[in-house]
Amino acid sequence: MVDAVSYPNTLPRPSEELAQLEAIWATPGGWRIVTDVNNTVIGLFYTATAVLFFLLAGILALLMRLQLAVPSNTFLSQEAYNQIFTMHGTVMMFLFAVPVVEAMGILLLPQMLGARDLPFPRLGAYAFWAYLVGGLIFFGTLFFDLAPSGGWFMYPPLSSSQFSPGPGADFWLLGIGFIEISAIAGAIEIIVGVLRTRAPGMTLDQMPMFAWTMLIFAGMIVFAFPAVILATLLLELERAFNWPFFIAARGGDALLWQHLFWFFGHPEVYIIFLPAAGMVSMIVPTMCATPLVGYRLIVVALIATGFFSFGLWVHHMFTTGIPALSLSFFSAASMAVALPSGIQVFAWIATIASGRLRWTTPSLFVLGFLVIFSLGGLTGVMVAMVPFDWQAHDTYFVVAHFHYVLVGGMVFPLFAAFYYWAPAFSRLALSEQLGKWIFLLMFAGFNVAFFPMHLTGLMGMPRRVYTYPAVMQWDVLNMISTIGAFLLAAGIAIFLVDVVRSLRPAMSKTAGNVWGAATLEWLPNNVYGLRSIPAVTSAYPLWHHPQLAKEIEDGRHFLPGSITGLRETIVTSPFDATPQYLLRLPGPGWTPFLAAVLTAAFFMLLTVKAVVLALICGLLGIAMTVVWMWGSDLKPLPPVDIGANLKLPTYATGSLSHAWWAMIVLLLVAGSLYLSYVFSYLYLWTVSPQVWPRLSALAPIAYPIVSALLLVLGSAILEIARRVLPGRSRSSGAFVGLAGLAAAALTGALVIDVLAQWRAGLRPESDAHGAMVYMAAFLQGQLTIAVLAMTGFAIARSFAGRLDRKRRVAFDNLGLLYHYTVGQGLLGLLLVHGFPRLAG
Amino acid sequence: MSDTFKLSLGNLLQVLAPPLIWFLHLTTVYAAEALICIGPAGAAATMMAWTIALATVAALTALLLTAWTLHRDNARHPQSLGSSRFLRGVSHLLILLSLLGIAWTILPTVFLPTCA
Repeated sequence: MVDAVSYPNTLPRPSEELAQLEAIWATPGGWRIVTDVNNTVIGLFYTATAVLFFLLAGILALLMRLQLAVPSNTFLSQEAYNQIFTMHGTVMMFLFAVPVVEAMGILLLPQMLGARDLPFPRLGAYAFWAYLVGGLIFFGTLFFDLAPSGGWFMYPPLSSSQFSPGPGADFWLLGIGFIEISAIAGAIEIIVGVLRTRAPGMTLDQMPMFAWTMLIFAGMIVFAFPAVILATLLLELERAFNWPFFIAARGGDALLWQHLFWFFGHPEVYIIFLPAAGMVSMIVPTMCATPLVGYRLIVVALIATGFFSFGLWVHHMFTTGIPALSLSFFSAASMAVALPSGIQVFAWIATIASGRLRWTTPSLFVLGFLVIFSLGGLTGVMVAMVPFDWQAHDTYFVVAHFHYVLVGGMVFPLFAAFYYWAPAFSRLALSEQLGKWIFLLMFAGFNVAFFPMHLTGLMGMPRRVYTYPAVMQWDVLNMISTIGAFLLAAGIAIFLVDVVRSLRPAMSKTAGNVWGAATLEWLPNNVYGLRSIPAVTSAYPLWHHPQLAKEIEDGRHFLPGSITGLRETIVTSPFDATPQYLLRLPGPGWTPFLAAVLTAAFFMLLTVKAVVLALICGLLGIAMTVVWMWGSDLKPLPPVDIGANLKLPTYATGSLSHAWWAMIVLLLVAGSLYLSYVFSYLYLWTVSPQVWPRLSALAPIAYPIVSALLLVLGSAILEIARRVLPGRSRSSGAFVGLAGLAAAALTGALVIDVLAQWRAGLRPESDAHGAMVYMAAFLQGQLTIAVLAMTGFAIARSFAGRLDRKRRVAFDNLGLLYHYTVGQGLLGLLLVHGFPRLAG
Repeated sequence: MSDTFKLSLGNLLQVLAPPLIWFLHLTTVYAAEALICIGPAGAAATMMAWTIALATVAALTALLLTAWTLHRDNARHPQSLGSSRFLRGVSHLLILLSLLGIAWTILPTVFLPTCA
């Protein structure tokens, strides 16, 4: 901690300083609260919405359990049951599990890291509103008999236009694709937030474990989600325009969907589990009043789990006819992932053993998690063995396994987290007495509901059947499961009562540190975070420095007010958290809300084929984004003193800028998506080499060469444009000309490539090869449109005097995107023109 | 690019390298099986065995190289504290885990014929 004698700022603080800080960060009143972008407000909204979807999906589960309680039941029709189980899985996975974790991140991270807010508050608000609007519309399809019914993983050919002709599958594909974009926006916010807005001195070995898990969670989203975004794009293009990616008769392959889906789907399990594990790693030390045992080992386990989880996807496909040796590689990897998971479990047990556990509600939920998750992990090792999986695949054994993993590994820690952190955001803590009853009901109900499913599965009951005949003798076990489900639901209902009774969300004067916890979120917080930001030298600052709360409230530490009259936070270096510059943050505004609503409208209107209206909404959405971006990248101000004579600049460019980091993360998303595409292209070639053209049928080589030259030329021109950015003695003319020329070169390269393929007689709907070639152009086209929009934006800013040699973040980001697009374009040309020549 | 940035990037690569090497090894042997084992049975099996052996040697060499860079950095900056030292420790342990992961991946080839 900061030396007890010399503090960064002296007392008394100016009388108006605190009032000004409060005014700047004030939450808009009434219905204007939808314009707020502050992390606490958005985090609370986000969490509440995720819980709403949890309840809705839970009600669907109860309907399913009612239907299965007795044999030959007619409570639900087959189609209604299909829609309900599809929506239950989809909503739980996409609208609850991932969003609630992001929500907790947005709510907790700034307070935990000592930041005033995350670095992109409007992006966080956009992600939330997009999720809320998109999620509600998606869920609403259930009431109009329009919901998808192909299962939460939507395998083709069942989900193809031939076997699912209605709009249900389209709602899934476009709706989920859209919500994934929102998840990626949240992930970018979290990565940059954790790496760049930690309190001064908070090195990586002092970072709260929840922040570590959120960092790895967000990193996994960056690499996992693009695979399923690509898959949804491919299937939607097949459904809408007959591009045969998954149609075997024309060289496609339905298994391609499974590869892409599970390359996302398996990491998804760990995407959900790791942050929950992070919550446990925060709760256990507090409840045992002792530091976490094996901090470094846990970080190792988290990183290893993050990576290993990407090598397991094929274990969802053990019954698809993949060669035995291949299956064995993935079987081995599936068992290997038990190692890092085991490290974490033993670290928690060791922490409990080294301290004295208090029997609070969060502790009970953590213990429940340890029991249930360990059982789920053990059955996971069982299904990782290929011969066992062949027997248990698609039975209720698997249903039992993944509910033990997901509910045990995520829902129980989440409830522990609700009880643990409620006092930090509410005037009252949740009831300990009710909490213990809730735990008992949930723990007993869960096991009564799901343990018998292992047995029904082993007795041969397949998952997803809407009913079964009495002769199968599954009725007793199913009735027990139904009773258990209602017990579990009773626990959750009492939790809602507790929430209504006790939870009083507040920005300040909360119940406070009732557990005696050690991390920064337990300091007196307000809507602006901490009154002043301390330098951190310990992983448990509140235990090591008991006077910290008072010092911070007095304003003795860094940045005790607002220096520039705007919302601000300190940007620090990613590893050692050295202060680097003062970031001015945006305040409330309509644009994130409107942009999210309009983008949601674009996607949903497309689903119902209202193309013109969809395009209007899309364009208006882009206009809102432009308005939002226009006010960002503020003019540099002279350096400011944040305390201890530490003068920080108010503007940063290049790799110092938080915006540069966000752009890099976005490019990793784009790169990951394109690599998934390259995999798909090569995969379909291995399956159907006969549809790949002979040399004579290929477009002449001159076309791709010209395209490639244009791409390289464009990059060079843009670099020259960087050197002639407007300045004191230079107008924007040369810059505008060169930037426009670079954009034209990029567009030209794409147009030439598409024309070459068209003139060679290739059509996207003819076979899988044609579809894949035009898909490369589609992906390149998306980026080209983004580059054109950003170029226009940069040109407009240069005319308006908002872009010059110093104030140039907009151009830096354009440069990064442009060069990436060129790289992707060159790889695409090599693949679609070079590979057939090599393979042919 | 500042020296601090370069150092941070170096640390980051050292942390990411071991699990990345494990992942590349896994995808190489998996992809090789898909591509090689469609050929004539005898020749394909031999080629596959060689591919697995080569990929494993390459992965182990890469892990050793990562370990060497860690020891070099420890020798160069024996007094370094904070994130760099922490990440070097993390990287050491990840090398061990990745080594186990690679051993685990090739274990099936001991029990199953190549191209099974």
